[in-house]
Amino acid sequence: MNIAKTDKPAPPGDTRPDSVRPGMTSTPTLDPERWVDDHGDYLFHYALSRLRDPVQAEDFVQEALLAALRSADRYQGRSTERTWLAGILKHKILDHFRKSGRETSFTDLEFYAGEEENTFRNELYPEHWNREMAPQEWADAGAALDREEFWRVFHRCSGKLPDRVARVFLLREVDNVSSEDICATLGISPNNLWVMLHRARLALRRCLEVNWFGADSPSEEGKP
Amino acid sequence: MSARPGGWRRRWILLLAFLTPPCRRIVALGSRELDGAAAPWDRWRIRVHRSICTGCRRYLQQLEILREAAHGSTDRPPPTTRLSTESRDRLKRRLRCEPAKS
Repeated sequence: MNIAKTDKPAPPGDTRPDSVRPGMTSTPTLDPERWVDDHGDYLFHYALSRLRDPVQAEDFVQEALLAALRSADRYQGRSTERTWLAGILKHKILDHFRKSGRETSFTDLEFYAGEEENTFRNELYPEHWNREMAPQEWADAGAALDREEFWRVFHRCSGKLPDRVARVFLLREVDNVSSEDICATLGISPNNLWVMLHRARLALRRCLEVNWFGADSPSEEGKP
Repeated sequence: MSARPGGWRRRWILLLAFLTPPCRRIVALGSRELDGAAAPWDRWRIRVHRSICTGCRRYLQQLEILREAAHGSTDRPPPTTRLSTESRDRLKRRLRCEPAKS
């Protein structure tokens, strides 16, 4: 077994080398139970956000950890332990999508179609922004990403995306899977993929604006 | 006879608006551009349009923020999607039964 690195950065002020910091294993070890403690939540969230089924998500985490254990001798330590485990989980989930994509029609082209129509309903200039729906300035967007409450809003908003749209969005935006690979994996046409990605972005952006960045969102004092 | 103040600027904006598709089409093209799938001609039209349209300019900037947030979201799991103690124990028990290759 090669050197296992964890993702934990040194806390501020901790100048000890990785080898002596707790949680940073620099000696050859194989401790799958620690994987559950250190990366279990991360992997479970990863699987759940894509599969939307807690039982199935746990099954996939288990499968990924077992596969990691069986192939531990191939882990070179070039990436962090978490990245390695998440990579195995990602491939297991993609395989599952590939199989189920062939069995069912995957597109969800109706999602947000009506809302898109309303967003660009403009009496004076057809197909231009509706005055009430036009994007507002997002003040301090960078700082928002550091706030716990923002992430709660973000997860609530992304949780509202229909399963298929969310799956496509996460594959593209989080897993960085290319459009061609998503189409091949899910058995959909590029045009259908772009429509779903576009609607997912429209819906998520609007949801974040209404619930976090917009004028009607909680006031600055109200934000934790 | 002198032109109304700002008259040329207004005419220029109207000309550019005439040359580019409406906002609905621009944001759809902008989404494609984000996926590297927009043609050069479309990229040019997006650039021209966002120079004269505040709504589209903001929208396209916010898509970048959305992308950054999506990237970061995996590292910020909501408390409700954490493994339960039972699930954790179940996983550990199962891993103990598996012979390791090391």
